[in-house]
Amino acid sequence: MSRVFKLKSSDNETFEVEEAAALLSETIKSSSSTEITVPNVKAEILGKVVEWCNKHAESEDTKDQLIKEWDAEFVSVDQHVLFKLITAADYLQIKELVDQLTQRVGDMIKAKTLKTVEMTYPTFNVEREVQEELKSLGF
Amino acid sequence: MQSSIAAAETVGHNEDLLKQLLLRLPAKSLIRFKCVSKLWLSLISSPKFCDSHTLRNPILKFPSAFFLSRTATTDPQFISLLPSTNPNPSKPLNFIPDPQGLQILQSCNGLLLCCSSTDKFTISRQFKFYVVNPTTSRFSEIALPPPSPTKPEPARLLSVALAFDPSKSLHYKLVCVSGSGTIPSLHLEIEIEIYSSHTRTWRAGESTHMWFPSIGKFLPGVYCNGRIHWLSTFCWLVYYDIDEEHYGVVDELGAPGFSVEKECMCFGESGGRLHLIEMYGSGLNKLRVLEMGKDYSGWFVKYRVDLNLMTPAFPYTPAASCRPFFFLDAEENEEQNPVLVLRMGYKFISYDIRDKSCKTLCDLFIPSLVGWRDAYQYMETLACV
Repeated sequence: MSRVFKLKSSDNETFEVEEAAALLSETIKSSSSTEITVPNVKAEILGKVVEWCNKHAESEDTKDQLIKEWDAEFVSVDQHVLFKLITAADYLQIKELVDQLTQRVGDMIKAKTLKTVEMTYPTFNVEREVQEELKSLGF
Repeated sequence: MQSSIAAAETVGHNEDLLKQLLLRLPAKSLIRFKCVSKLWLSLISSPKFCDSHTLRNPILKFPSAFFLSRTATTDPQFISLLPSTNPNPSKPLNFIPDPQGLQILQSCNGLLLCCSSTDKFTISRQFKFYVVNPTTSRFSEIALPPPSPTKPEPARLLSVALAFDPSKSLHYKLVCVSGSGTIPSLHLEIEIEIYSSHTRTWRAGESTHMWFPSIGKFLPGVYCNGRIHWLSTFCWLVYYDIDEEHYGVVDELGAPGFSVEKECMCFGESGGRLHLIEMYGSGLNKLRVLEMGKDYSGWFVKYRVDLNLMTPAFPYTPAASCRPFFFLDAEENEEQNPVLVLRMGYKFISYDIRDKSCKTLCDLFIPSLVGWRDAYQYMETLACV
C-alpha cells in the first residue's frame, strides 16, 4: 500500500500526492514526515508542480515522445509563472523539472537577445540594449 | 509585471539556479551578459563556471568570424562571417601586450596559438608563444623548453602546434617538434616535447629518426580527431597522436598527386575531417576541395568549383589573385551548406557550394597583396587558458 503525502501551500491549500509522484522530490524523500509545508509557494504553483510529478510518476519512459510534448506544453507558461515554478521546483529539489524550466528560460533569453547578441560579435558594445532586454525578462 | 520581476529576482539572486540557467546559454551570449550585474559578472568570469560551461557546451562547428594573420606591417584582422552592417573591430588581439606584434599560427576549437613574430616563417625557440581565447580576451604566455645541451648540433624548431578538444578534456596541449640533420638528407632526428596546460610543464615525448614535411621552415599543424597533422607541398601527410603519443606517416596514396602547379593549397580541418583546397587548371581558374577518407585511405575530390562561373557576379579579377582560405563542410540536417571562404581580388567572399551563391564579407582596403595572409576560424568558447 503506497503512502500518501500531503503538501501544503503557503496559502493553506493541501494537495494529496501518491508516493511514486512525491518521491520525485529529493526534499520530500529526505523528509521524516508525510506532511510537508512548502513556504513561499502558492496553491496555483504548487498545484502545477504536483501535476508534473503525477504525470512523470505514471509514465516509466521519460524519453517517450508524448511525455516530451506534454513537457514542452507544460513549460510554455507566462514569465512570472515560470520563475515561480523554478523556485518551487528548486525548493522541492525536483532536478528534472528544474532542468526543463531553466532550459525554457534559456531559450527565452536567447530569443530575446537574438538581434543584439547573436547577430553581432563580442567587441561591439551593446551593453545598454542587453541590459534592457534582460530587464524586460525580469533580470 | 511587478510580480514577474520579483519572481525573476528570486531566481536571479539564487546563485545555484542562476548558474544552472547560465550554463545553458551559448558562450557568445554569456560574454555580453557580464554587464547585467555584479553577480552575473563574477559568476561568468569564474574559472570553475567557465570549465563547467566548456565541458557542457559542444563547440559550435561553424565559425562566426575569422582572423586574418599578420603581414609585416598590419596587425591581425577580424572579419565576420555573419550578415552585419557593423564594421569589423580593427585591433581584435590588442589585449595581448607584445611590442613585436602577434602572428596567429593556428586556430583550434575556439583557441588560438600565436607567436610574437613578424612573419610565420622565421620562428625560433626564443620567441614567445601564446595560447589565446579571443572570446574572453584571456591568454597564457608559454615559453618553449630550451634545446637539450647534450646534442652536438642545435635542433631547428620545425613546428609548435595546439591540441584542444573540449569534448575530451578541458586542458590543452602543445606539441613542439624540433629536428636536426643535414638538409640534403630526407630523414631528420625528430624530437617531440609536449606541454600540458594541466601541469603547466613540458616533458619529452618521442624521439625518432624520420622524415618531416618541412626541413628548414616553421610549419604549423592542423588538429583533427586527437592528432596533429602536418602537410606541405610535395609531401606526405604526417601526424602525431596526442593520446597514444606516437608519430605516424601516411604514405603517398596516388590520389590527385601533388605537383608544382598546386602551389595554392590550403590544408585544414572541418567537421572532423581533413581537407585540402587546390587551385588548378590553365590560369588557375578551377578549384577543388579534397577530403581525406576514413583511416587515411586517400584524398578524394569532394567538390569542384569553376571560378569563371563566379566572376560574372564580381568585377574582373585576374585569376592569380584569387586565393582560397578555408572550407566549411556541410552538416547533415543543418542549415549550413558547404562554404568556401576566399579572396577574389580586393574582396573577401564566402561562396556557398550548394547554392552556388557568393556573399561579400569585406573589402580589403589595403590593395597590397604582398605578405602571407592566412585565415583562422573564430568560434566562441569560455575555455580557460
